[in-house]
Amino acid sequence: MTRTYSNTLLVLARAEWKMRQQSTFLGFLWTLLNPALLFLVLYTLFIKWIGKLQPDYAVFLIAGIIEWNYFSSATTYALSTLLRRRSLVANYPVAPELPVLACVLTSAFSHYLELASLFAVLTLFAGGPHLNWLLLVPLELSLLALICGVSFFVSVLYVFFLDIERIYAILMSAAFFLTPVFYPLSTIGAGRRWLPELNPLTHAIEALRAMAIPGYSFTPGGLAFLAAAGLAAAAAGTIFIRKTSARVAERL
Amino acid sequence: MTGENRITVQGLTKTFSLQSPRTDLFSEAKKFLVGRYPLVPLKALEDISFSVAAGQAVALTGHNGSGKSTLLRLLAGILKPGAGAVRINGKTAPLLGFGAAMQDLLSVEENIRVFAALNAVAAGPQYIEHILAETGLAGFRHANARELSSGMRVRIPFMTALHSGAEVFLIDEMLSAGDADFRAAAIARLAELKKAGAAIIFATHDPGQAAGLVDRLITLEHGRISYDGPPAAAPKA
Repeated sequence: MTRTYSNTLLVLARAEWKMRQQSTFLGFLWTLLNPALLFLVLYTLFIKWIGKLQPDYAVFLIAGIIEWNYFSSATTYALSTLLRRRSLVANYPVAPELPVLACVLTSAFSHYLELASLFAVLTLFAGGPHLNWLLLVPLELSLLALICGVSFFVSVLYVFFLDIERIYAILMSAAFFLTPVFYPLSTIGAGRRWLPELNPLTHAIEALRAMAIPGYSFTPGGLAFLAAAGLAAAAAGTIFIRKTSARVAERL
Repeated sequence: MTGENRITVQGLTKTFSLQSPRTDLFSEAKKFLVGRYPLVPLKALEDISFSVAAGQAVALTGHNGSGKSTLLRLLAGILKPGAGAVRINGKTAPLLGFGAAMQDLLSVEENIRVFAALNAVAAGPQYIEHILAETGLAGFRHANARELSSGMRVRIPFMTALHSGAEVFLIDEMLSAGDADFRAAAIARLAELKKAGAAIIFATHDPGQAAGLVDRLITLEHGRISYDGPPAAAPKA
């Protein structure tokens, strides 16, 4: 990454962050309110049922929501980036992935603040830090790569097919239930467990839970699968957005 | 400084596929995947060849739809040509569209940072102060860009580009923006850059607005060059 590229990316990300926060009265608080409300609803609904099967259900649920919400909100927000930034893409020869990356970075920053809050609470009330918290680095890098890859695809497709926004919302609703955000994988029959296990997000959530809940069983192979999926998505997404950049500029 | 070519264009052709109104997902997907569009392709530029030497300023004229903006976007590398080649020798500063990429919710200072980044300039405090002084917007430093008039808005991308160290300037209609004082200052700065070896090409409907700057006129008609020569010898429109 050249210095000019990284400087442009940082300036655009900073601008994106400011615009995002300044356009609403509550600003950054909105990014915390959404997962907090989801946690409240799911915890109230499921504590008596799933809480019996899963110790530390509050932390279990928070870890699931934080990772899910990051993927969901980052890719959904990135989806409309090229259209929202059309004056930039159509008038400056910027690398086409830059505005999308800048957008994803703002979501990542919010996410890291959430994670910092989680680990601060864990340090205060559950003891820590622990050595396995270092797994956070490969976990978050892999997840960021996955989000970038998916964002590159959906942001380009949205320029050509506005329907993608609706389709993606439906897919995300289905994916929410196919991802073990609020239930443990063990509640799914062995014959159907391959479905959530094929989902890279499952492994991101499980890895975070392994760091947050003492004794939580976790297989490193899951993290390797997430890393491979993230790298593949980022590589394919980058090739796709660069190959289609001229058509995107024409369309915009 | 003159002699070496800053811009070389050979046999440039660009065809757009006119878009039908959005219909449904399946029709759009088919168009996207197989590249077939139901309307006749529009040839925006056809067999365009010219070069611009260092220290030369070219006014690009022509009626609306003649291909001026498309040509500038091809030179900037935003669009890809269907045929032909563009060679640019030097750092390029594109100024395409009034206040393009200006962010209404950001302050004037933050917008300067964005435009500096887009022009590959690391905007330190001195650079920011310099641009604020050049644009006459020092008093609006912390004001949101949406509070500026359109003439004031255009100064930020313009002056940021003119102080970016670029050697090739591609300007689309922006010389007609802003008040007379700003235009005079912008033209004076462009004249300095030209003297230092920059190549300038700007699209305009009124080449007379920068008469002292222009060495050459290129007129486009229906995507082809109909005149390329000194302004004084150009046929009257």
